[in-house]
Amino acid sequence: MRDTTPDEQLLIRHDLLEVDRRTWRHIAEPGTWWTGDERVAMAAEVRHARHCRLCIARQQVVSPALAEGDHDSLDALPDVVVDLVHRVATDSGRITRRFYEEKLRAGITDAQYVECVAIISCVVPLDTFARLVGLSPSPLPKPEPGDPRRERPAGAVVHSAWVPTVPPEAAEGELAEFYGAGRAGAIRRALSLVPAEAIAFRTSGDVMYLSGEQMGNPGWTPRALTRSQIELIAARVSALNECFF
Amino acid sequence: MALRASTGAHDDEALQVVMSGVPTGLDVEHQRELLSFVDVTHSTHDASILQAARSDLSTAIGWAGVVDAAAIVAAFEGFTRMADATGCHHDAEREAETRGLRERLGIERWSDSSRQQ
Repeated sequence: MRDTTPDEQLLIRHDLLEVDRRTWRHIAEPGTWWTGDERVAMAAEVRHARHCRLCIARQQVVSPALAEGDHDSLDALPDVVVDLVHRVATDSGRITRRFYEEKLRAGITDAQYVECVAIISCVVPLDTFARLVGLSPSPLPKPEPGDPRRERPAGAVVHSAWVPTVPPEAAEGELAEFYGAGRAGAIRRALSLVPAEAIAFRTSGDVMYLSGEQMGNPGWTPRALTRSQIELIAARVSALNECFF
Repeated sequence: MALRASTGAHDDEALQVVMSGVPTGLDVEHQRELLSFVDVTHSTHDASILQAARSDLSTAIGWAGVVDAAAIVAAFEGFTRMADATGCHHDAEREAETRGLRERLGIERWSDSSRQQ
């Protein structure tokens, strides 16, 4: 087995290495609704989900409901959170509104749900990138002590997603700055119920994919790939993941 | 839409390539190698398969291109999960822009009314 050579590792864009470091540090910190311990435990569970026999069985049947049983988990989180992590990590294309509502009935708040989804959606890209370039995934960080901030942004409403989001006209502080002067599209708004996660997720995405400004310029090509090559890859991944959006 | 805008392709041409993974007449350099890389690496964790995929793509577009491709794949593994788990929908403007496309794809049968289940 040949892994990425040290010389090749030096050729990995510095901004990609930096976003890995920064995102893991963010995950380790107390969040808005979950502690650092819980957030790192979610990240660990994302990695563990790949080996989960229930998740593997679910992927092989027409409907997830047809595969019954318990998840193979690390036992560091409540079952409802484990199920959320495993489903989003391994089978997000078949998540429905009912799944989301079941989680709320089981005791997770909408904001806790959003923060958990954000963490999963940050961890998967970091590990995927490492896997694809032949690097070992970053070790799980040591959780930082401290309590969650428990701050809910004003003005969050159910609009174009199942979860409440903050429309641009209601955004304040860091969220208003994050939205900027332009139109805040659905993707940019999706995690806005937990602004710190919306910002962290988008910051990572700006580096790995394109920033909002770059997206608006079809001819922009300061990378090794052309814009059309970038969009071909993006569209094919979305199709393979059966992403409804 | 972004693929269509960046290549000048018609919707159906772009869709065919994206949905099938089969490179056709799209004006995208090295589309065969890029699509192969995405498809092969989508879910495998086999180190030898991944290494072969990197090597093949690197021959076509160089190591910097492989890094960029890997980053795009990774980013969209995150975007798709985030969008699906939050029930993200297009805003009204994008809904109108893509209505014809979604009808041709039959995507509306997976609209929120059916995803309510």
